[in-house]
Amino acid sequence: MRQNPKAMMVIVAAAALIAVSGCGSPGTDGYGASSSPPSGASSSAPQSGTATITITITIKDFGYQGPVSVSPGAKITVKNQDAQAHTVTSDDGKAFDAAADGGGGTATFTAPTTPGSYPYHCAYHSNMHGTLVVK
Amino acid sequence: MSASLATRRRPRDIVLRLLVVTALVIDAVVHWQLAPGYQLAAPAGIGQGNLFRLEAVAAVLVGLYVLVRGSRPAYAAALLVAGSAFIAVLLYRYVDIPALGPIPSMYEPVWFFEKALSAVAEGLGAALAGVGFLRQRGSARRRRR
Repeated sequence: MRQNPKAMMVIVAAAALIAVSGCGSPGTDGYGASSSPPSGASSSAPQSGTATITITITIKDFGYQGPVSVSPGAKITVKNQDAQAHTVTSDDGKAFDAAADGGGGTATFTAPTTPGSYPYHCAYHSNMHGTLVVK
Repeated sequence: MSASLATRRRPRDIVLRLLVVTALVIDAVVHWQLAPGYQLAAPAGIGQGNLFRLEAVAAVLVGLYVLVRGSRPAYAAALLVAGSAFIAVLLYRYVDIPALGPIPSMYEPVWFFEKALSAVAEGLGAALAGVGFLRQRGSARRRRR
């Protein structure tokens, strides 16, 4: 069978393009399956229902570091880097309440489904305050 | 009337005594109010909240001692209670001390109103108790001559 050199070159180039494009590591396009937003960044809920975003509030030196705004119903993880236990407790006492042990303890809670601003505090240390915005 | 008793009844000494008592009361109230939360946060060993309660009780008892007696031992006890609390709050504010036997880790690298108020009261209370102690010692020396 006679082969067309031009057609062969086109096929080889196309195969090379496909191979190169497939070498990118998963998750580097922003919100891959295992990717997390930068600490302290504003985060949003999973996009197009396929990705899982880990939203984290970090407690360090008796202060909250975490997202300012989250999507309704977002799952939020609390990581406590202090030696003492802390909580993330909504000021209204109903929206959410999560306690994380000291020395690296973690806890999770679900953000309210109603958009709004939710001030929170530590139930053990009344001087610790933060605000979670659901939008 | 003894010279020491006369010294304790001078207006300046009565004011000094009341200032020391006020400082100890502030120390006691702040520690008592903060104790429940801190006990939950650091329950290891004796627990931070229980240490706060012990400090509050000691401050109240010594405050009463200073108020009633105003003697050298009373001022010495006030200096001990207020001074040790002042050193502890500064130490645990700036140095990350791990748990030591029954004493839990209490590192807290922040200041807030109640804590600052208590620390100032403890520092002033210790200083004024030291002044009271020295004044009483001076009057005791004069009495011996």
